[in-house]
Amino acid sequence: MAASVRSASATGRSSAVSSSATRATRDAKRLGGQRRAVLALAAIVPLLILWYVLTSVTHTVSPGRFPSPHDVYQAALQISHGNGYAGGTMSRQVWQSSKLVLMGFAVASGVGVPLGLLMGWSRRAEALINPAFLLLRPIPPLAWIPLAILWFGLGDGAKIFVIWFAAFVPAVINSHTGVRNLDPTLIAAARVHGASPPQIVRHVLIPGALPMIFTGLRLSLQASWTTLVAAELVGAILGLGHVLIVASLDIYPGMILYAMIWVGIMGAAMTKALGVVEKRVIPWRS
Amino acid sequence: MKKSICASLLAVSAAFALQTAAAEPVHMNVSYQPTNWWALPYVLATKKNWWADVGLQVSYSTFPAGVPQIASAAAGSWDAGGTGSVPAVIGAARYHILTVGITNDESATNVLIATKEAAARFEKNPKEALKGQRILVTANSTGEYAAAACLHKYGLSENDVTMVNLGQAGIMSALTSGTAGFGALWAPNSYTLEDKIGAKIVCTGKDGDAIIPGALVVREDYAKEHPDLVAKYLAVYLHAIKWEKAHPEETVKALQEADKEAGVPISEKYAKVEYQRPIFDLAEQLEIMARHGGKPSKVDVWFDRIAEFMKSKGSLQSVPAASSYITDKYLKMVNDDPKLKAFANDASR
Repeated sequence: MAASVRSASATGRSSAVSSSATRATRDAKRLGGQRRAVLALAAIVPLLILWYVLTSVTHTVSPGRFPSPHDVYQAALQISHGNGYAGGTMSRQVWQSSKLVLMGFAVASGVGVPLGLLMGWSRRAEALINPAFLLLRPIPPLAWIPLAILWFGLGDGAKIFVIWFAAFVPAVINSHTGVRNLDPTLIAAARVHGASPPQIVRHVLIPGALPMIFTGLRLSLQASWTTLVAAELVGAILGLGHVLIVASLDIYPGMILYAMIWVGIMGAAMTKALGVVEKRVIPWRS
Repeated sequence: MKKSICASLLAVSAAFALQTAAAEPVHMNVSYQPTNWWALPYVLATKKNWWADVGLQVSYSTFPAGVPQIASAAAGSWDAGGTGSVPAVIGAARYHILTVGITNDESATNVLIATKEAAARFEKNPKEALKGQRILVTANSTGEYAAAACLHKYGLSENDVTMVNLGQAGIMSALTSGTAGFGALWAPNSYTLEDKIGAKIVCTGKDGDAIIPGALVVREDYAKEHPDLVAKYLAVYLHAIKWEKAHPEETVKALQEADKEAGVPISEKYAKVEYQRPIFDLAEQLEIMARHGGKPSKVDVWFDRIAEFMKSKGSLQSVPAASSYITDKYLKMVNDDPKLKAFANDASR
């Protein structure tokens, strides 16, 4: 009985200690988060004030060269109502671009990561694939546009292809490097303990290469967004890149900046989402 | 005979007087888009040294299309030039670009062109052939305006088709590969496609009742500072127009040479078609730009329709008043100056 009380008390103490530790960690995190938010605001707010002053108060920068906050607001109003701008409202443009980026990114990761792992795992596969990869790698995604039109027509296929090409390269390189940087003694130890090749891949190779794979995926996602405008040169009728192209043809700086802000927001949001996935898949990294 | 000899003597002496009056030529930055019919006066003026006749020394900036040309005006990259009417309207709305004359009427050479198969469908039933189709257009161009006019001619609107934005080279490549059936091109690109894949022009801006002029433009601040130089610039352009009208064979040959130098050679057949495009001399320009009794001029009406079209597709938030950017002030300056007028109307050299 006394033992059980002691044990209960110990459990209680330990749970109290553990809960206070959790609370402390949570507080520290919240404080860290608050501090980060304050720092971010401290960087952004002066910039916004400077923007307003230079374009709307002193008129040091003419609206033809850089839009004022009011110009951007007007552009936001125009694209949010009625028929919107460049073929649709901003929600439709964002949806179309996100769809293209996610599809291009998914195909690039689906092909690039296994290919990089294969090249890292097998010298023979590397010798076979690497020369072609080295030849294709320096070609800018923009250069594929005329061929993409011929192969896939003017639909989404051509755009996804251009995004895929941009996102594919970092996915391959980082997965390949992730495997190559693995400590060979880990693989040797797994072999000594009788692990089969599929088990080595599943339990050693992939977990070991995951940090580099995720770095590659982050770069791929960024490449997908930065290639979006080029991809939407392929006869797009909707999308953020299309808005940027049409606004540049309209010489409409307010709309250009508004679309750029959305590209930034969407790119940052998707990178953040990938970061959440990364934390779940490889918690030890954070 | 006597009259023409006297006129020639007057023109030659005017040119001589102009040249001697301005001992030091004044520099001017001029912009245009090569391979266009209306760009030929710039080429001729340089080859024949007509700029020097009015005391100007010109540097050229050339652009593949009107939008980058207009955008570069914001940085003061050029003072005067020639461009399409659509970019001229955007320039007026965004950067105070004035339209001070007309380069030509290009209504017949901004066309809706179709591949052989699409043209065959179009011949049977134009409306059905176009409805629901993808029409490739260069956004904010005279080509897009012509395509829209053609759709209206057949009782369709832009909502009945899918307008897809591509550059002229992209349109040509897509039509060649058969990924689309219809596209909007302008000369000489339409000629190239006719020759290359047997494409057919199914409708022109003129067929769609859209008058598509080209514009002689100038930066407003430059025009305010140097109205005399703008008048001289116009005098040279008008002199070239007069010369082209008087020398058809030499003009056709010069156009072929100029297009070849610019990398888009055209055959004699098509150069002769280009020559048929209406161009306007001083008297004709004054006529079409005159606001009789406060009524809008012909040019005002043409540009207003273009501006309305651009507003309808969201490119402009409001239609700029024609009188705020179209002016015949500088043409009148040419007309009121006997020496400049004589030079502008001289077709002898």
